[in-house]
Amino acid sequence: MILKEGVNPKPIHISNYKGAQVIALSLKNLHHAKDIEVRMDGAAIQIWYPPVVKMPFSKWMEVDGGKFKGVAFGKRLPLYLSINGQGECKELEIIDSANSSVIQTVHVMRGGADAGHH
Amino acid sequence: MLIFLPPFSAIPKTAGEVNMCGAVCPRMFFIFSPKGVWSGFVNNISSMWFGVALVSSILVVTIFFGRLWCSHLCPVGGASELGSKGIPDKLKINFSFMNAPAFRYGYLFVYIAGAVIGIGSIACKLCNFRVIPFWAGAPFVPAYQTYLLTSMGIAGLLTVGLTGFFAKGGRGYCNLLCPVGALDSVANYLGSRLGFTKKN
Repeated sequence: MILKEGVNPKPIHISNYKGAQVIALSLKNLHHAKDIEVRMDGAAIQIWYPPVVKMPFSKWMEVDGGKFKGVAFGKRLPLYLSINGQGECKELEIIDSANSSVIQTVHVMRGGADAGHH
Repeated sequence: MLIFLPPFSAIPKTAGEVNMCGAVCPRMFFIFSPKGVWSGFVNNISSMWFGVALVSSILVVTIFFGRLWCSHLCPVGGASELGSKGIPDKLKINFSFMNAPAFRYGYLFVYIAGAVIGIGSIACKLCNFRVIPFWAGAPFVPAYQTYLLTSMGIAGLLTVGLTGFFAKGGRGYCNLLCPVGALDSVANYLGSRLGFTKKN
């Protein structure tokens, strides 16, 4: 997914499997925002940054759940969104934390590419 | 292994990564993109610049000096070989019954061209450069645990496990499934034809 103002993202289709699901999402920051929040109702958001062992004088983004501070332009955020199988379609919101404005909203649709809204 | 793999990842950190994915990925940049082979290749080189530099260096060294990366430096092959030493021989699989070059180059062809010819992209699936680093970092990073417990992660663990740790010699994956190893094998062949290269 490209994170850029004015880009209208396509919906993400996931299966309507009833158990736990993990959505792997690669979010490329082509927006001027450095502090980004990713929100989806009922989802636990994980990322493999920052490193376990930080070298001195190196600077890494700060991560707190779905909140990412200091995301460089062009940086990819490799996210794992863990959801349970319950519930209907969901909305994935990507927010510029600096001014709490919504950069993009992505519709997460259950049931495959030919599924309708429900 | 310590300098490439989590939790230390000293080499990936120089490229702003914490494992062998992202800019460090050594195997995704040469996959043909169905959206345009050349434009896709150029985009991949800019995204995976460290992996491109790493693989280019590996191939150049191999042409002139032999397969030093695969034999001495690769953290992933090294990890599977080392892990294999701890497994009793009677539990190991001997893959010598297979025609390794045929399998290796057939797999490499599907790996590079699969997306363009309509089979689909292998890319990160069953990737040794993902599974072994994620497995090494899993005790410290919850995201790695999450991935390894998905169906894709379990498939990767089984593939790398059976063809790595449970293979005789620990190098079944390297010999059969690693795209970087297959390219390195081609480079080694080309180097052997040159006549002025030094081989151990």
